[in-house]
Amino acid sequence: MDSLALLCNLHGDGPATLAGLRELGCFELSEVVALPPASIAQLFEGNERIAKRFGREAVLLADRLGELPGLASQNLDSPSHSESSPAESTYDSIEEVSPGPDIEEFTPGPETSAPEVLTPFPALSKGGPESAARLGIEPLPAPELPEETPAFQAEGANAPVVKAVLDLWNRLDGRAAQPASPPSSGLAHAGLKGLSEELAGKLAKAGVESLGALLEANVLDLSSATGIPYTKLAHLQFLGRKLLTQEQPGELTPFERPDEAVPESKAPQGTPAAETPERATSNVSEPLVDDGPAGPFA
Amino acid sequence: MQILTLANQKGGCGKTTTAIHLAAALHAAGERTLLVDLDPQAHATLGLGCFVGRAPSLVDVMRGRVPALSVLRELRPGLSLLPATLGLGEFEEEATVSLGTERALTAALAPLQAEFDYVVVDCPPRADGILTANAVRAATTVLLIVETGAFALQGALRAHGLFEEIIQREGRATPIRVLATMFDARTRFAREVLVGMHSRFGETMYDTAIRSSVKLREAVASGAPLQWHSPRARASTDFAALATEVRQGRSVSTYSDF
Repeated sequence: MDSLALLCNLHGDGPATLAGLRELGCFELSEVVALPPASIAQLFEGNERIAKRFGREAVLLADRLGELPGLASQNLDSPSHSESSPAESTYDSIEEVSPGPDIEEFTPGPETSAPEVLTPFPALSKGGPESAARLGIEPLPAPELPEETPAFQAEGANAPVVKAVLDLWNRLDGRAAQPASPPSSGLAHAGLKGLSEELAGKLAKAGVESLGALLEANVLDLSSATGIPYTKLAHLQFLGRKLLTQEQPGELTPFERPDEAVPESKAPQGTPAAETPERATSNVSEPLVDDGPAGPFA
Repeated sequence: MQILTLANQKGGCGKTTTAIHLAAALHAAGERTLLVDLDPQAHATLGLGCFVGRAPSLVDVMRGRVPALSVLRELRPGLSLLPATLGLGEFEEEATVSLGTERALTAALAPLQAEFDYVVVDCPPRADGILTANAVRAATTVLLIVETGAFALQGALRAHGLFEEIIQREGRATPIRVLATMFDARTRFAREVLVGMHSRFGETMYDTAIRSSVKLREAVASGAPLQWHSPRARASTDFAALATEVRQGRSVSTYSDF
C-alpha cells in the first residue's frame, strides 16, 4: 500500500478517491499537499470543506510517515488547509490525527502505571473514623482531644471526679477505652481470605489501613494507586462485606422488630416443599419412574 | 494460471467473503476464474448457494479418486467452484499418517492449467494445518487477509512467518501480499491499525483496503456475490479495485523483516 492509497482509505472514498487523484496526476503525498483545495474538491463533489480537511490530513500523514518531515508545522498554518470551523467532522481536530502511539502500544503492558510516591488514599479522608465506627468495625485511633476538653481540666484538683465521670460515660456509651490496634496490622488480621501481609502493606501505604477504609475505597482508584489487580480488590471488598454481615447476626432490619415478629405457630400454612427440609428430603427419596424412551410426554 | 491463496491463522477475518468476491470481481473483469473451497466448514460453497451432499468434492480430487474437472460446479460461464465437504477435515487427519499429502492440491489443480486464468483458494482458519500448507505450496501469490481489528498485527505476523517458512522450504519465491479487510474508517482504532499495517508491511500491502459492509454479509448469506446484484455498491468497487491490482500483478519483494 503506498501512502497515497493509505490516505484515500483513511480519509477519502478508498479506491474511488485514489483513482481520481491519479487522474489529477498525483502519485505521491507531496503532490496532494501541493494541490489547491479547489482541485481536491472536484473529487468530493465540489465540497471544499471536505477538500480542505483531506488536504490537511495529507500534510499530517506525510509528516507522520516521515515523507515530508516538518511539513505539518509549516502547512497547517497556510490558509489552504486551515480550518474555519472547529466542528466540521468527528475527526477533524488536529489532536485526533496527530501522531499517536504506535500500534504496539495497544497491547497491555506490565503494571507500571502506579505512581512512585503513594499518597494516602482519599477514601479515608472522605469517610473518616465516623464511617468506620458506624460500620461497627475496628475502632480507629482516638482523635487527639483539643486543649479545651475536660481531659485537660482534669489536671486540677477535681481530677479524680472528672476521671470517674468520664469513665462512667465511656462505659455507658459502650466505648470503654480500648487499645487501638496498630493500623498496618489491622487489615492484615481482619481474616480476609487471600489478603496477605504484602497486600495489606501495599494497602496501608495507600492509606487503607482498616476494613472500613477498604470497603469505602473506590476500587479502580485503589487498584491504580497500589498496583493490586482490580478483581482482587473487588473480591476483598466482597469478602469484607460478607465478614461484616456475619459479625452482626443479631442486627435486625427495620421491618423485623421483635414486637412485630410472627409467632412460629401462626406461620402461613402450605409452605413450599423445597423450603421445608423434611419435605425436600422426602421428594428426593421418592423412587424414580421410568417413563420409557419417549419420556413423560408419550 | 495464477493461484491466489487467501489465508490467515485467525478466523473471522474475512477470508471466505474476500475469496467469493475477489473471484466474482476477477470474473467480472473477464478472467476465467475458479474458486477452490479448502475449508472443511464449506462456507464458500454455501456462500455461493451450492450444496454438495454425497456428491464427489474437492477431498475426493485431493485423494486422487476423481479428476478435478468432474467435480467442478459452473456458477456462470467463466466462473466455477471446486466445492468442499466436511471430508476435508478427515483428509487433514489422514495426512498425519500418509506421505505426499502436502502436494495434493498442486496435483489436483495441475490438469486445470489451461482451463482458468485465476484460481482463488479459500483456506481454513489455521495457518499450520496440512490444508493451508497445501494451498501455500500450490500458490503463485499468497494473500494474507488481515482484519483491521484488535490482535490483527500479532496474528498476521505469526501467519506471515509460517507462510514464509513453507515457501522457503519449497525453495520458491512466492510473494506474500497483505490485504486489509473489515476496515471502518469511522473509528480511530481501525485507522490506527491500518497505519500500523502500512508501517509494518509497506509495499507488500494491497492499495485497496476492503471496507466493512453489511451488504457483503447479506450477499454471502443470500448465496450470491454482491457484484451480481449490486455492482455499484461501495464494497463491489473495493473488490473491483482489488481485482485490478491483482491483475496488474505488481512485482514486489516479499516482506521479511520481522
